[in-house]
Amino acid sequence: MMHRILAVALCFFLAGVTQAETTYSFGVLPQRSAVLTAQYWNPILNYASGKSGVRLELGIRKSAEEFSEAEGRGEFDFVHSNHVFIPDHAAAAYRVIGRAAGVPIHGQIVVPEASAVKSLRELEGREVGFPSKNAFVGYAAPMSALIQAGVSVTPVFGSNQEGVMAQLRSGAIPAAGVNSRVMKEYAARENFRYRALWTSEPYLDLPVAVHPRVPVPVAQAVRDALVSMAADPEGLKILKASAAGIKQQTPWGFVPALDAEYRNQREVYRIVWKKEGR
Amino acid sequence: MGAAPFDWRTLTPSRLWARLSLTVRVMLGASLALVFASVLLLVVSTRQGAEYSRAQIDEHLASEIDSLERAIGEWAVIGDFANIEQFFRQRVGQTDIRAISWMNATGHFLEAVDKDEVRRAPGWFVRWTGVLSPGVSRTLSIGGRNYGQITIEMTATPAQNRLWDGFLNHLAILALALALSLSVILFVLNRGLRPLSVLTRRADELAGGDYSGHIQRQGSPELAGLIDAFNHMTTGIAEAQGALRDEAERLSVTLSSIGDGVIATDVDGSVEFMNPVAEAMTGWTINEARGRSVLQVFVIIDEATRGEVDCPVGRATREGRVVGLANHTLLISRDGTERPIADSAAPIRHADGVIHGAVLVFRDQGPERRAAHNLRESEAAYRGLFDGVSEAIYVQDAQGRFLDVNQAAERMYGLPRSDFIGKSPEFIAAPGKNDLASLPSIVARAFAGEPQRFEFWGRRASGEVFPKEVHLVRGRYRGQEVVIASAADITERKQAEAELKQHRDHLEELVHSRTAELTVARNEAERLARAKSEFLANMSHELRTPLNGVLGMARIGARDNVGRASHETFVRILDSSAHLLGVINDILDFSKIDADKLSIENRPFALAGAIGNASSFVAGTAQQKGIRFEATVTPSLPEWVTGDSQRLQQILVNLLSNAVKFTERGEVRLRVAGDGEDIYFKVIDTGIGMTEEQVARLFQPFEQADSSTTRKYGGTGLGLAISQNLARLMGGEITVDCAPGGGSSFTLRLPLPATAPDLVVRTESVGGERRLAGLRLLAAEDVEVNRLILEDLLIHEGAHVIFAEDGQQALDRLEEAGVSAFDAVLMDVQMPVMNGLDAARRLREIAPALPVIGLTAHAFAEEREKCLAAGMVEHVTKPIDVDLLVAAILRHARPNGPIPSPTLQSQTSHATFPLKGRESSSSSFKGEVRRGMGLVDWSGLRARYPGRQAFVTKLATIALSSEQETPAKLRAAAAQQDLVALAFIAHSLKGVGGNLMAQGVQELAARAESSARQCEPPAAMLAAELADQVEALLAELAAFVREDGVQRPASAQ
Repeated sequence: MMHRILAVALCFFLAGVTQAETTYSFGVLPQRSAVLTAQYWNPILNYASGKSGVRLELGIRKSAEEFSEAEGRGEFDFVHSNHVFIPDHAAAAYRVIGRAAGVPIHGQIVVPEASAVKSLRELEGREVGFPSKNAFVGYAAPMSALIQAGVSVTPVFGSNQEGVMAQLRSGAIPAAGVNSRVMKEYAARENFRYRALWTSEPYLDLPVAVHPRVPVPVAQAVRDALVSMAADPEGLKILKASAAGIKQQTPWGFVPALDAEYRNQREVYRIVWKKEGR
Repeated sequence: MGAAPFDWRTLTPSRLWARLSLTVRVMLGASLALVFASVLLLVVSTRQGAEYSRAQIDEHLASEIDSLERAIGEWAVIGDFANIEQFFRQRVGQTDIRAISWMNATGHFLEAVDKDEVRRAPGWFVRWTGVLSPGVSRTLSIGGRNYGQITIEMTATPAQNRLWDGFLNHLAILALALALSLSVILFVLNRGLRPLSVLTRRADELAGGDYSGHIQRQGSPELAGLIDAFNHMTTGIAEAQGALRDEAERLSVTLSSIGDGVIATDVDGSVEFMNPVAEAMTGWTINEARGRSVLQVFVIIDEATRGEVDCPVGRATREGRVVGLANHTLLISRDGTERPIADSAAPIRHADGVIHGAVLVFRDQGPERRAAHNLRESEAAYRGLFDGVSEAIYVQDAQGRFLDVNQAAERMYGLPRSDFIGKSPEFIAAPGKNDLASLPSIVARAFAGEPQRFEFWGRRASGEVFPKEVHLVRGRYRGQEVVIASAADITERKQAEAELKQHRDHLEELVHSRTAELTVARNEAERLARAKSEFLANMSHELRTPLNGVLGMARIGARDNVGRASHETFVRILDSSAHLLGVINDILDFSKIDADKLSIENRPFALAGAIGNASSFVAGTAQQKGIRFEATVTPSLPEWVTGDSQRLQQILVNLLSNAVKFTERGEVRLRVAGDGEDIYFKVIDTGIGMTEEQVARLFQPFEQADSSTTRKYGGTGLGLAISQNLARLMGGEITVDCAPGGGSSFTLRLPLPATAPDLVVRTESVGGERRLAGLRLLAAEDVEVNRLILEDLLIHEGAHVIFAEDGQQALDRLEEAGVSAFDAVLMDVQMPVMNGLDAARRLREIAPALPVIGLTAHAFAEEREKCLAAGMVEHVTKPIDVDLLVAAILRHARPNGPIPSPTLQSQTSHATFPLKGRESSSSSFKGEVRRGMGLVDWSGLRARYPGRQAFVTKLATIALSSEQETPAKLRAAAAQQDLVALAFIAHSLKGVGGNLMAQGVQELAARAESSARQCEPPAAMLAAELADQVEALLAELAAFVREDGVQRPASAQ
């Protein structure tokens, strides 16, 4: 009996030592500045680490391109990114385990409220800002709409969502492809008035995906920690605080999700990538 | 200066300080103060600078760490160390940061250090200021995750160097300021203290007795003030010295000039001073006496014993007090002359009280003794006089007590002098016969310097009572203020007075008796005078009645005998009778004035009307005599005045008649002008004039210019006397200015204050409004023309009118229609059958609520009063003024419906002779209008009834038919002297004349009526004249009607 107790204790010890030694990177697609991203995600990852017992570390890059390339190379254990649906990233084989809670998001092509531009056609031949070439609702979705409408524009990339929004606000570009929700939050925070020329069909928010190398129990533990966060008063408090930093509206937290739910996004990427010959 | 050598061994700070000059003291003091202040300033400013630098470095450090955290946060999250390191180097090179380091969570270490600093401030300075290099570390935590530790160390070297440089600069400036300040102080003191040496020199001169000259004002204000004070002091000392010399001189002169002898000695009794009196009395001169003992110079013995007397000088100096000399002391002069003297000696003391001598003052008693002797002799002489006079004399003090009495007083009362002394006069008063209570006040008044005189009953020692007259005067008796009374026995005078009184009483009785007799006589005389006046009045009246008969008969005779020889006779009878009537009227007026029975009215009247009436009275006569008559009135005169219109007219008629009477050719002018309340009526003629003597008698009753005047011009000689009396009764007077043959100028001055016209309520028709619409009126008027006009205007104003031709008819109409059938009654006063007044009285009984408005042809107050007394509510004069009549009706009528409220405004009730705005035309009084055609103002009549030619024609036609008999009636009345009928007809004609706008007829009728009512002789003449005018009027009306009849059909075609 004594031996059994010791064996279990040793197992737990060893397991703890093992888990303590393994740190999993959690890459987050840059949609804001690195500091804002860290201020938002670090408390969540700390919570998830605490709850799951899986040590998570925020993985971030200077730009979405750099991130996308690193993701394509499978450098992150977990990602919060929809670039996993890019045809080129199929090799990395990230698998969707959840997503941010909330209503589906839309891609939009927006102009400042006072702009003279009233339709997509008026953008013909003009510069249109996008977060990055790999952005989905910010680039792929609007571009697929422009492609389908036969409007040819000159893309200008602002490295992330808010970067291109700042350019739009300053008047550097006449229109921008944006994530409708990020745009709404940005406009509320910066008191910017804008108008949408086009709005896409609904797309689910960015997924949380896991690399195949991560053990299933670990992925499971992390997913459970994230999904149950909003129901836990402590987790909800953290979510609220993080949301307040970027003026994010409810609902907060994460819900379970599957690859199949993101089929329409894969299709958009496919169309654009094909058109652009990437 | 020969000062003692200084012993440095005994040197102490206070002694050292005492030896220093002012300049050195100021320099030393200022240097110490400046050095202390400079060091303090340096320390405080450097410490403040250091504190500021420290605060600045700390603030900078806090700011740097904050910005560094923000700057590297992004790179730290991403792990971009290269950017962080580059940023660190950049910051260290650009700012006061000496070193920055960062170690991330994984132990990665980055650092940047600035090694180029050079510190100039010495170590002690850095330690003293405490400005050191601070540093701080902070953990970089984002989203709860530790990204490493940042450490910053700031450099204080630049701040330390700045502070050190500032310190050195301040030190240099303060040293320079110190040197400058000391130089300036040295310069100022050297220059400023120079006047002190001048002052010192001058003080030495002053000490030497040189008070002349002043120091020139110089140096700073303080020193200049000091010099001023010094100069002032010098002047003060010089003046004090002068005053001292003057005082000594004055004392010397005083002592030399006083009447007493003065000898001053030292404390040992040696003579130091003698004045001239002392020299004369002692026989020693001061030069001889000075230094000698006073006992040798001032030799005195007792007068009685001839023995030596002690000199008081010795006692005065010994005892230190004033010592007098005994009486009866003789001074024996050097030549042996003896003089009785009185003397005293007093010690002379220094300011500290020590006696250093004595002064001996003595006087020759010889003159005083002679004066006392004289006084005694004078007293004896006075006593002889006092006792020698026959009147009793008493000397009394302020309380009246006797101080002395003379022998006459002793004899008067049979009492010795001693019985009087100290007693009051009561003890010599006869009991019960004097007002003793008033005695003290009499004595007090005399004592105050007011001589008193009164009678006093005394009682002798024998008990006999007697009267005396007392005089009290203030005087002096033995050096005191007293009252001196002298008294004389007046028993005999009293007896004489009693007899005299008895005679006077008898005389008064006689006077009373005679006065009573005279009063009876006077009353009888007054009664007789009254009886005379009454007799005259009655007589005049009695005379006038038959005389009117004579006049009438004469007029008939004259009229019926035209062309015959007897015509002249009748004319003479007519003239004589008229003259006689005038005489009687004058006598009547005069007797009224004489009996003081003439009353003067005082009521508003139109001045122009009165002047017009008077003028028209003489205008005809003037024209007959071929004299030009002109009346001129100053336009500025008031329209309405207060006074007696009738008496004014009487005076004016008298003056104007006289003027016309005494003027054979030329002109008579009436000029009316005003001066304040006084109005001047000046009657100027070109007649015979008068001498001064004639003028003097002019206003005496029964006087004319001379008896020939009476013979030539007739008259009673009462007219002017009456006029003058009337003028005076009215507060005015008549003055005359004339020369024989040069015409006369009579001026009547009357105070006639301007007044507002009678206030009436006038309702003016506006735009053809029918103001009497709905009113039912009963109008009684006997003259058809008047009825026509009244009917026209009342119907025109919308009233329903029922007419009656006399008072009785009016009553009948009222009875037929009922009392409530009319709202008002318009009642002519003078009507046949029953006159308006009687009818009004009856109406008052039948219908008390029915208002009766009187219509009369004149505005006499008397007439109005009669109307009101008969129960009429108002009185409107004819010719009718539509607005006035309408206003009167609206005021009183009983309306069945609403009546427009009348507008209140002031206006003259009827002005026949408006004054304002024009000179009155003289042609009005020349009489042309009364002759032939042109009696009616046709244009005026047409203007009165605009566009109603037919009505004007109808008016003329009715007048033509209704007045056809009037001339005959007038003549008949005049012939029969039926003045009542005459007045009646004239009254009617006055109204007709007014209605037809025949002003001449109206005026003549007015005068005729007035004359007839007053039973005046001209009434018959006026009636005849009026009859002629009415005939002329009828002819004019007939011509008008004829012409109108021709023109109207013609114009109709």
